[in-house]
Order: sequence, then C-alpha cells, then structure tokens
Amino acid sequence: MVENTDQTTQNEQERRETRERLRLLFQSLNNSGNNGNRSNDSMLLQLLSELIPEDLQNEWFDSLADKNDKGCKETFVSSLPRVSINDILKQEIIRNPEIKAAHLNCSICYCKYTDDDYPLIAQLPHCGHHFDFECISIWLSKNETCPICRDNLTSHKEVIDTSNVELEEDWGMYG
Amino acid sequence: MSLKRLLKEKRLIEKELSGYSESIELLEPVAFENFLKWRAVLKGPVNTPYHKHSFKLLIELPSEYPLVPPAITFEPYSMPHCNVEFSTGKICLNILEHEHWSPVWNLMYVMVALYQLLQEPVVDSPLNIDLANILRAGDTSAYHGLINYYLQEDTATH
Repeated sequence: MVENTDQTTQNEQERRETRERLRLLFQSLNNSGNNGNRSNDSMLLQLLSELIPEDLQNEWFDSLADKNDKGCKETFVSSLPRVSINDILKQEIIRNPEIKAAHLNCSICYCKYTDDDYPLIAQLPHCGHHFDFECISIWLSKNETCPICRDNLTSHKEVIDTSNVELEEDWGMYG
Repeated sequence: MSLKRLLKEKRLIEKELSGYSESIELLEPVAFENFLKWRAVLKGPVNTPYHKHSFKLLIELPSEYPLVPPAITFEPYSMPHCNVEFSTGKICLNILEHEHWSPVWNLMYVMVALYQLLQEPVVDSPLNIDLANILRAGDTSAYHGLINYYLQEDTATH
C-alpha cells in the first residue's frame, strides 16, 4: 500500500469500506440460501449490479461496447429522431392504404407499438426504418447497420445545414 | 427480451408451420419451461440426395437473442453436407454468424435458409472437405453415392 498523500489514503479507506460491504453481502447470501446452484449466482449478480449507480452502470456498459470497437456513437444513437405512431402511419399508408396503427410493430422485439400507452419510437435517418427506441439503441451500441436494410449508418456524411450559417454571420455583424 | 420475443415467435410458428409442411417437420421449444432450447426437424428437399430423409437440429438461444444469432447445429453424425461438420453437426452459414445476423430475422426464417442450404450446398466454404471436393470436381454420381452411404450408415446404426 502506497500512502503518499492524504488523497490516496482516503481512496484506500473508501475502497476498503466498499470491499467490506461486498464481503458482508456475499456472506449473507451464502448463509441464506445455500443450495449451491447457479440461480444463487445470478441473484447475486443482479444484486451487485443494482449496487452500482445507474450512470456508472451506463459507463460500464459503454466501456464494454467500446471493447467491441464497433457500433454507433452514443451521441448519435441518443439523437435519433423520435416519431409518433401517427407519423409512421402517415408514411406507411402510402405503401399500404389498408394499414392500421395496431399493425405497426417493432421488427426487433415483434411487439406492437400500440401495446405501450406511450411508445418511444425511433426512426433511422436515410432509410427511414423504425423501431422501439430501446431495441434499436441496444442494437446500434454494438452494430452500425439498419437491421432491416443493412444501411450503414456511419457511412453517411453529416449534412451541414447551410441555412444557419448565414444567420450566424448576421449575428456576428450586429453583435 | 429474448423470452417475450420467443413466445411471440412460437405463436407465429403455430400459425404458419402448416404452410411449410414440405420443408419443416417440427420447430418447437424442447420443454415448455425452457424457451432457450429448441429442436427442429427439416425434411430433405426433393431432387437432392437428402430426399425422404429427415434431419434433426438443436437450437440454443443466447439470452441476448434476437440481438445475437441463435446457435444451431445438426445432430452429430447425421448430416453429410458440404457446409456441415459431420462429427459435430456444426453449420457454416453466413446469416448465423454474429456479423451477418440481423435481429429482424427469426427461427422460421433461419429454418427456411437451412432448407435452401440443403438444396444448394456452397462448395466455397466447406466444413466437409471430401464432399466439397467431389462436388467441385463435378462427380455427381460419386457425390450422391457418398451421401447415400452416410445416410444409410446413419439409419443402420441408430
């Protein structure tokens, strides 16, 4: 143990406390249900993962995804346009005039959008395919293509919105 | 996610399986308590050496399914095919690989793809090199003969 500064001593202390808490948790679990089967392990893992604060959990998942070295940037995924069932219905009705809202479903989980009172639906740019936001964000964290048409989402150059550029120049003149 | 989706697939299969009676004999979970293990039986397509034979498949679904592909193998020592390792039943089919899989596909779709693989063996990515070499040389009578030999051997020993 190197204790160069007060900082490290404090960190050490915190770490020791965490370790102690985990040790107690393991012990209590062992005592309560000692069947020695794997369902215990999964319960323990679940408990442990609940101990990690949510934002840290996300960071952890992200770092796991990074190791894969594939997938879309988190900022890209979170900025995907959300659309309403009615928006999709308007688009789909051009191809199939008979279509009803109850026919629309996410192609990943196969669940109807109408099963959810407030469905969160994301639409991919360029190809326009739509999925539950949750389903597509998990897929895109490890992959870069649309599950339906294989359109590579990272292959498109970002469109630069020139209409704003002039506006900013104007601001520069008066500001 | 996987269990909910597999339940939906099961309902879909129950509805649609009768339409596939020429190709798929069976596609169901091994036990109702365990939806992550399925079994299937494919029928040998007409105009192939597999005609009038049935082939058992084992399907294991990872908990991340459908975001990752199902793990599918033929019953070991049952399938003489260019793209199947005879001793293990391991299948070489690109849609079953992680980088080519898509979560919009389902088990029914995979079964149809495997049925097509029985109709059209791919000699360029063989797991059974003997069969692929014979097929590549264009010796169809030897190819049919060898597969028949394997299949008869199989029915004799089991």
